[in-house]
Amino acid sequence: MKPYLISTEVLASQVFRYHPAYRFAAFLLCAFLFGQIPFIVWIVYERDSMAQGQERAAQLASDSQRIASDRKALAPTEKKLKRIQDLAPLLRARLPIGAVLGKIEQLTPPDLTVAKITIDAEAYQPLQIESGLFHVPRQIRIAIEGEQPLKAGDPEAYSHLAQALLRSLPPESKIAETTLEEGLDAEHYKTFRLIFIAPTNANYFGLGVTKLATQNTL
Amino acid sequence: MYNDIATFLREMPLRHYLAGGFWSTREPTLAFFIGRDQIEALAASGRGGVGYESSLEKDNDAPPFAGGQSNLATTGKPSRTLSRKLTSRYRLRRNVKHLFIVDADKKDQFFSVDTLERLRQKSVTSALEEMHENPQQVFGNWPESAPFRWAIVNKELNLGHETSPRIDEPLLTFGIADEVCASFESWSQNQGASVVAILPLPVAVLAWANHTLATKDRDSLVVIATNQGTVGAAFRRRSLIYICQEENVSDAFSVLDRETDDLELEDPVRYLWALNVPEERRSIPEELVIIDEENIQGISGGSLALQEGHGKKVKHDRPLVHLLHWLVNQ
Repeated sequence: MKPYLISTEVLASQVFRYHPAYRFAAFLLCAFLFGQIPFIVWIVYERDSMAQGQERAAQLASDSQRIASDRKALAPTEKKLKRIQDLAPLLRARLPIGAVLGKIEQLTPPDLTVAKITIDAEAYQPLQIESGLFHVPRQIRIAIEGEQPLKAGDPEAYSHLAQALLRSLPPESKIAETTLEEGLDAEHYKTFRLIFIAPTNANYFGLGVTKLATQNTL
Repeated sequence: MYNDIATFLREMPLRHYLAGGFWSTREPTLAFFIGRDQIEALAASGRGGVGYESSLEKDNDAPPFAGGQSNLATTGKPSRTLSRKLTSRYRLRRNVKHLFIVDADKKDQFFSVDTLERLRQKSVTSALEEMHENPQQVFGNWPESAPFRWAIVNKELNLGHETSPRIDEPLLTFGIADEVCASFESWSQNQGASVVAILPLPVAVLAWANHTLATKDRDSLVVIATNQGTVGAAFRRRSLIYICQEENVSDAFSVLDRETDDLELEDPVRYLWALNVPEERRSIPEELVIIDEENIQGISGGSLALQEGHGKKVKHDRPLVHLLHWLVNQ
């Protein structure tokens, strides 16, 4: 049907709807715009990511400043802790003398008479810490002297004491000397001498030292 | 060139394209009958009518009445347009065309049978231009001051053909007030639809009658009675040779009877197409063929089974429904 009584303006606008050239042009335009969607999505995603990154960076900077200010207040405490930590090599290089004596007493057989126990530190190493220069021993020398009766039941009792005590000392400990000599009363006794070398920086659990609680990191 | 591209980008009907307009221009048609206080519509797909709405004037998004005024006060833009509702209801595509058949007021419409010779024009195009610019010059005693829109169809009233008549061949010139047409165009634009045509009801009925009734064998007189008045027309065989506007059916037939001898008609058949069955039917001559529900099946070849708003198919035998159905297939 012919477009009776339709205004030229309306007819002109309806040409856009039905003329193949305009429809094709519109299709190309829409296809082009549709093709931009991934790019636009990428742009939006990038902007969003950038905004999130900036927000995170600002938050981290704020946290960093807060932590720095908190840490400033803790500076004296940190200094004290540093001093304590500096003393750690000194504190570690110790021998629990009571435990050593207790172990010797415990292991010494009844046939033996312990006359003298000497414990010396040796192999000193200089250690520089804030409060000064210290000499820290790396080894402990334990000397046990005594007498063994000739009529004793076990002629190797001093040797057994040496082996038993060596097992109780920390690893890397060693027996430096084992001697049995005739003493002043040669008819009845012989004099024995045992010398042990033990590292200071080791565990002494074998001596009966037990951990009372979890190790404090301080 | 730049202005053309800018205009295209500005006025590009994007929603129409995205609703399938890229690929197809075969769109369903909503044919509206617009009366003084009555609006009906036929929804048609490419295969013909599928639905009928007999009282759209109650819808708050209905088209304006024949006077150009809106039927209801607008209370804001409705969520769905009337066209969208109808296409959803009858499962049609969203892009639609509107066809308006208007029963306009007598002062808002004009009919005349003339020749290019009498109009002192050489072609239909020049005649239309002259009628648009200076109707007083063309019609002599043109009384209207309001602008009109004009159209010309050939004597066979072929609505789908270009008119290129001889200079002495009868033509039907008709017009409707510009204000009335503009109101329909504006409404269609708001609906997102295109407009197929705006036709006066009498012209549509005369075209249907000339195509459907047996006017090719005999001369005929056709009277169209609407709510706005009556239009009488005389056909010599299948050529329209006379048209007049009268107050009622009796007046129209009286005028036609008086003109029969001058028009040299031979024993014409009398037809009455009435929007509503006239109360004065008893006073009408017995040889009159009234085109109504009783004989429309014989004329059109059967009843129209169309779905209505409630979803059921109903037989429609009113002449108006058959007219709209015929028009959407033109």
